[in-house]
Amino acid sequence: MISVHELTKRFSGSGTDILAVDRLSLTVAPGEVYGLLGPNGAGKTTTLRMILGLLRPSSGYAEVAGLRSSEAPDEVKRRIGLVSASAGLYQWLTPREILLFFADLYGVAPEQAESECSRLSDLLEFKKYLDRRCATLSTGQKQRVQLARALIHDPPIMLLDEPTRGLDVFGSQVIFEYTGHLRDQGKAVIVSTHRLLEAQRLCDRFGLMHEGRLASEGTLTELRAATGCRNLVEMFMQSVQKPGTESSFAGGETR
Amino acid sequence: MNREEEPHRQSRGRHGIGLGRLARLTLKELRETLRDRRTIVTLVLMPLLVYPLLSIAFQKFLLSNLKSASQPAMIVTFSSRDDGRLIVGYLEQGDALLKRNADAARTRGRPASRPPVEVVPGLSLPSQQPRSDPKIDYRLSANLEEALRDNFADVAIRVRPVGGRQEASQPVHPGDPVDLEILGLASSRRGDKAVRIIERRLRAVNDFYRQQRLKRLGITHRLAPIHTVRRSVETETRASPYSLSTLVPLILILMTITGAVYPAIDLTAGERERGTLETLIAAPVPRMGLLLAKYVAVLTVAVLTATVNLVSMAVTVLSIGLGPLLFGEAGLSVWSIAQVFGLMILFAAFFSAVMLVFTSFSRSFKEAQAYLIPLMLVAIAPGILSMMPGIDLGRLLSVTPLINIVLLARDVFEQTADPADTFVVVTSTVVYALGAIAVAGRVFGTDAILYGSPGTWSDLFRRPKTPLPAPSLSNALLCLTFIAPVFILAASGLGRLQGLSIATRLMLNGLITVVLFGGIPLLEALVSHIRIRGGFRLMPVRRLAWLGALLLGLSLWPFVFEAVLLTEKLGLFSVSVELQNLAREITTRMRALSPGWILLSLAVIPALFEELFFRGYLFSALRSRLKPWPTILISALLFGMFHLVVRDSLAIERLLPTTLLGVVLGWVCARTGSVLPGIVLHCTHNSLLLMVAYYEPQLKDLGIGTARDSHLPTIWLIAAAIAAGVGLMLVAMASRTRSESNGAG
Repeated sequence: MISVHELTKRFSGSGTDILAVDRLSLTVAPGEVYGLLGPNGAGKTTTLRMILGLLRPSSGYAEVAGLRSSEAPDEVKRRIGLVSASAGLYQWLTPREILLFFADLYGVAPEQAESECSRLSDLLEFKKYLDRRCATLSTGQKQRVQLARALIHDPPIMLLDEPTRGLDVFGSQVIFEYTGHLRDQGKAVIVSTHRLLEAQRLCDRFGLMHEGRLASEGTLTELRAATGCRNLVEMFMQSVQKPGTESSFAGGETR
Repeated sequence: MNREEEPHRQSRGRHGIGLGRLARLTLKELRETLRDRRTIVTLVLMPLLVYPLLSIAFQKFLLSNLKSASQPAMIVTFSSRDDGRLIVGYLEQGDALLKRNADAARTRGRPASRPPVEVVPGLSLPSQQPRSDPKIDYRLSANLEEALRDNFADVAIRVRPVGGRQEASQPVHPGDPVDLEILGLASSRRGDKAVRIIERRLRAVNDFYRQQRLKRLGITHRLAPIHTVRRSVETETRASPYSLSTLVPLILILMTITGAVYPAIDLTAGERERGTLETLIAAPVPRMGLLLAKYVAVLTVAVLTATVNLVSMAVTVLSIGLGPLLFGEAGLSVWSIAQVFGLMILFAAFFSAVMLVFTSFSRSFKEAQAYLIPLMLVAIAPGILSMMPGIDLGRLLSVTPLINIVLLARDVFEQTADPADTFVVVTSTVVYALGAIAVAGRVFGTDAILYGSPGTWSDLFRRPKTPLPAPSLSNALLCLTFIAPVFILAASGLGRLQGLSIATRLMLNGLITVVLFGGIPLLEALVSHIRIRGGFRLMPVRRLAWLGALLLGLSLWPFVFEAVLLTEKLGLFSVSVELQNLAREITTRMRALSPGWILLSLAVIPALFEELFFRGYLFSALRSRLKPWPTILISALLFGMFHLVVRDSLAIERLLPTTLLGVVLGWVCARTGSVLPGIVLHCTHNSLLLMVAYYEPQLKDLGIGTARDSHLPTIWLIAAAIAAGVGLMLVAMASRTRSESNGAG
């Protein structure tokens, strides 16, 4: 479903030359939740943006359902739902208006959009504020609306970029539960996060990113066998710690 | 279908933005904008407050002006009651005499001291009213000099006995000889004016007594040989140093900008800042489509602001009766309001696009504000410049953004707008707006803006590494933005150049065609790394297509001739006598040149380079977004519009035939996928027309040639129709295997 080949992104100009993603390759099958893990600045978000076609790769390519993001961006976008922690909502619109607007953008028929809007607001428990302006919603409520917005066109692929950032325990729980639901529906999901313990519960396979490269990849069992570590935190510390390297990976959020 | 076009088609596919979706996208933008209180403030509250406040200020200014013109509150002082009685008597008598003289002159139909002047708009109106001297207050002062120094009075009058012989105690009666000493404060304008008024009245009294005495002596003829009448003549242009009819459009424009600023920032940089732009760009909608929706939303708010402003201005002007003062005798008419509203829409279309260029570049609200404030100041400068006296809408100013709209709005208010100027202003402004949208489309939602990616800014303007098969719409629009104003200026400039031989003129004309329609697109194609062959549609075609094009070139001219005739007969347009004379003069002068030179400059060069642009570069760009027929029609209309401008006037009658020719050329291009047969068609068509004009005397000698306003012989038309039909068939046959016949057939 998702296939990334030697994907590289280099930002250069005005005296800077940053290798954000370095020859990254991975695949994600339908019904699989892939955890793209790494500290801040590891290149996770850049990778997701290149898969979606929002950023042009310097070299390599990403394919979604056999279509290259750089060649058929609209077709690729149509198949993907994006939830990003940095994304906002239109403050002067209501969740219903936003959902219907995005349904229209993705070409969903109006009747289907209405029923999806109703179903998702039920499922994600925000029906009671469906007609309130987004400016009045809490962070958790907004994130539920974001998730519903990304799912309104029922995409086969979901990209979740730090989906639990800023959420409390209950808010995070909703995301976790729904991610499991997406897996059951046969969607291919990539979750980018630096909350390793959450990822351990949530994902089927993991890619550990550091400084733009995929340091190691596999299921938890495969990674345990390869590294001898018990959990993702230990694995990652082992893989990324080099002399002079300071990692923010195992920060407070992993405890 | 050409293989090179396939990627375009695929990306356009069914996910292009249709009108319905554009409308829904716009609706969302408008909903978001209009729910924001900040929009309402600029949209409704400001116009409602600004015009009444401005009118109050204006009225105050006007009143003080009128007051200072007619009532200087003149105070005259004297040292005794007897002096007062004498002085007041003489001054009132003088005033009455002056008024009587003025009335007498008016009834005789001759100008009085001031002749009636044409009412011109502007501040000169108060001075056009019959002048009456101010009211005079009289006061007693013990010391006249002191009274003046203390500003107790404007002028002082002392009665002196004649020659100092008469005793001061003896009263002086009216008609007795008397010396009056008039005292005014040195270097006081007010005092000088008062002295002049006193002197004028006393002169009138003296004249009266002089005439009475001469009459009694039986002398009725004029004693002095010279009698002068002072008469001021207003200039033909504007009497006032600053035209107020320019001020109104300027205010309207500024207010319209104010209304559009907030949505322009909020819907672009604001969205980026709030993180909503990423989700929008992640949707399968072309970025240009999203930008267009935002553009329409900003434009709508700007037009709403213009409407509220115009209504508020009109109500204010009409309610306090400022119309004649601001807009001349006719005042403010509904038609001029409607025309100015049209201009406001045009301006809003232009400025909204320009603002979106800047706000699309911005990554935050603050950054956008930092760009727009200087832009607004820059916009005010030409507006103020256009208020200067003696500035008229010439060709250069007609294509100068902003200043052209202000000056045209002024002319509309004054009901002196010229159709050719109006056409140039409207066309150039639309072209600039399209160019601005093309620039905004290049930057809106790019990763440089979306994520502030380092290095990607320069990527926006860097030559792409891989060649592009065809120009984008924004490429073509940018080209058009450069070509259109330069073409208008060049057409006008070349017409005005005196002393040029016809050969030089033709050479320059050819050079302009080469540079504009060949050089500019070629330069852009090289900079943007667009494949020359695909971009200009230089595709090989079958022999049948060449033959078909040649037949069409030979057979279309009778239809062009009949189309011109038809427009004249229907009374739609007619070729002006001036233009006919010009054409006749040029044709006569051209006969001095060799036919080869004429064909090269007026047939081969225009056919080659106009085709390379209209059916090559522009056609490819339009075709990347549109179906064949809309592409054919738009390119044909633009082709027709470019042929409208002739020197300083509009040859409207050329629009229909040239556009029809453009449609045929576009169809041939769409069918064959190549610009080459069109070049042959165009060249043959032009050559035939030129040679008929060139050899007109010889043809007439041979009995061929008709009066200008009669139809061609029916047999000619039938033959031409058959030839054209065969030509079309050959082109269709030639392109059956390789054409874009799906739609253009």
